[in-house]
Amino acid sequence: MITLDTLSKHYGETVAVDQLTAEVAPGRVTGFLGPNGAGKSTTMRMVVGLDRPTAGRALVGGHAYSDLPTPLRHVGALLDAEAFHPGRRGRTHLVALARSNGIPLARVDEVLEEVGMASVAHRRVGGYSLGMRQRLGIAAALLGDPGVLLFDESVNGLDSDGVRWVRDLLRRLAAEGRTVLVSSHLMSEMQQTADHLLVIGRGRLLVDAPVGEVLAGGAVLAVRVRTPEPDRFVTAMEGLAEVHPADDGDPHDLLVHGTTAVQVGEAAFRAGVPLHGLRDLERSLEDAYVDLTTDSVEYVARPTVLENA
Amino acid sequence: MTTTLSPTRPGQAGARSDLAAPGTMTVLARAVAADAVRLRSLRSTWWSLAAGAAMMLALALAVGLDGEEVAPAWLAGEIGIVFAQFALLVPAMLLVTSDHATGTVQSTLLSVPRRGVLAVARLLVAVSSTVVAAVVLAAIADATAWVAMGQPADTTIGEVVASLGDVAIVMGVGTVLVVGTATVLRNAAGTLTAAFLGLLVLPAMLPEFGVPWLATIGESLPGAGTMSMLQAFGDPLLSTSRAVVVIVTWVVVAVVAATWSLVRRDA
Repeated sequence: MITLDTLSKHYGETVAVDQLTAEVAPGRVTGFLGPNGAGKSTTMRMVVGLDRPTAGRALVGGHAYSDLPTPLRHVGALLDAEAFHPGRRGRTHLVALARSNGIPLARVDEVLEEVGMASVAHRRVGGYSLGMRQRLGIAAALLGDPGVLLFDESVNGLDSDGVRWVRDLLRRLAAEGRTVLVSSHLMSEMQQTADHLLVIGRGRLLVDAPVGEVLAGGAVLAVRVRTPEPDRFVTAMEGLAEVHPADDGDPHDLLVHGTTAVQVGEAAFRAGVPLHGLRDLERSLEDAYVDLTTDSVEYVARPTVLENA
Repeated sequence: MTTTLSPTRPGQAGARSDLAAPGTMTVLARAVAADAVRLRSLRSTWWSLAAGAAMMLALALAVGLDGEEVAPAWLAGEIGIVFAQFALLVPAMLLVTSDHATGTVQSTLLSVPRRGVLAVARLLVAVSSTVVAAVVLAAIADATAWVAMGQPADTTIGEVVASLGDVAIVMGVGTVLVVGTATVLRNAAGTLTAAFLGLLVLPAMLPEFGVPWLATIGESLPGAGTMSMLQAFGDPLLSTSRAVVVIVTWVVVAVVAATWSLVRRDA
């Protein structure tokens, strides 16, 4: 369980995180979504005590991170996959961490095996690919067998096999009853991995809801219809819904707004209008996310208006 | 892929910490063990040690083979450490600055979030390793010079031990100052420059200008204190009591500044 309690971080005038209040529950994967600069990383850094909140607090299992005498046994975090000393061997990096928290060294080899790095662990990190560093970072997070895990952009730099592996790992960790918080700006990734979403923009919480609910947020966008008799169809739909031509230019393709495929199909049946295609256009998480965050993106490219030119 | 993680139920982690919460001394001892691994595992540590050893031996031979005057052999270790201390300080400095330069400090702080404890652990690891290295190398340098001299001045075991003790003080104080400076500056070039100026160059140079206030500044710098502890340079710059005051003052400043910096600043 991670508790964010009116958590705020200011850098001078800039508000990076703005009174964030939320609970991250165990037993499910919670996606932490937001555009770049939304405050995801800063929030995660405050949870593990790397950054000091300007106001509010972040608790892990009811404790401040810095009060945990053996933090790695409670919380595993992968925040920056580049944060290794290039001259140190992968295994030695983990040995130092194990020593610091009284974790038996046998566990080091166990997690190296787990992330598929056992054969290269004796090499210096400087020779690792980004994907290998990512795996070493995940090994470090798993080292203390913690009940709470935080991953910041955990699939960056991984190939498709690696992405699938991380996805399965996150799901499994959650299924074991652990608290899993994964930040990403990749909505498609979250749609496949997360059960629950925290969406933030400009440091403020926009959504705290199950993935399904976020997807259903705007319900059905439109119904797409294909009919050989578009004129009769439009007549049949009068008073029921708005009909527009579809964007493909084919006069037989139509979009119906403000209703559902069920209602359109039944109305067409009653009017005796033949339909060759009938489909709800659902929102993807991507659409929902864009809707939610467009107003809160910090860096938007806008066309420059030249006045008095 | 096999699962090697034991399932942790919600709340169980908290319960485990209540049952077996280690005390501060255990946390400190573990932090020391971790930093010792970090220090040992870098090649730069061993190269710096090798460079320091080469410097000490070369100076010991120079002292030993200089037939002009009869000198006690322990002079070799003292003269050697004045210069070789900078090679031995490099690993202590890198323990801190490379952590910041590479971002490894993140994982260090994740594993030991109690920053005061981390600061103490860093100092213990750095000081104990540089002091042991310095004393061993000085002893080897003394022995080398003694052999090379053929006819060394009479000396007692007590004088040699006292000389090695002075070497330990010089090295230990230098290490505390360098680790403190490195923790505040988080930067290797700045730290090394400050160490050179404060421990050697300015205290040796400023009194030479004959300007009283410049001399006062020079005599207040940490190097004036540490070099006055050595017998190698004849008349020391400062009396022993003044040297101790200068040294203690700087050590306290360094420890307080480093701890404050580590505890208060974001990583």
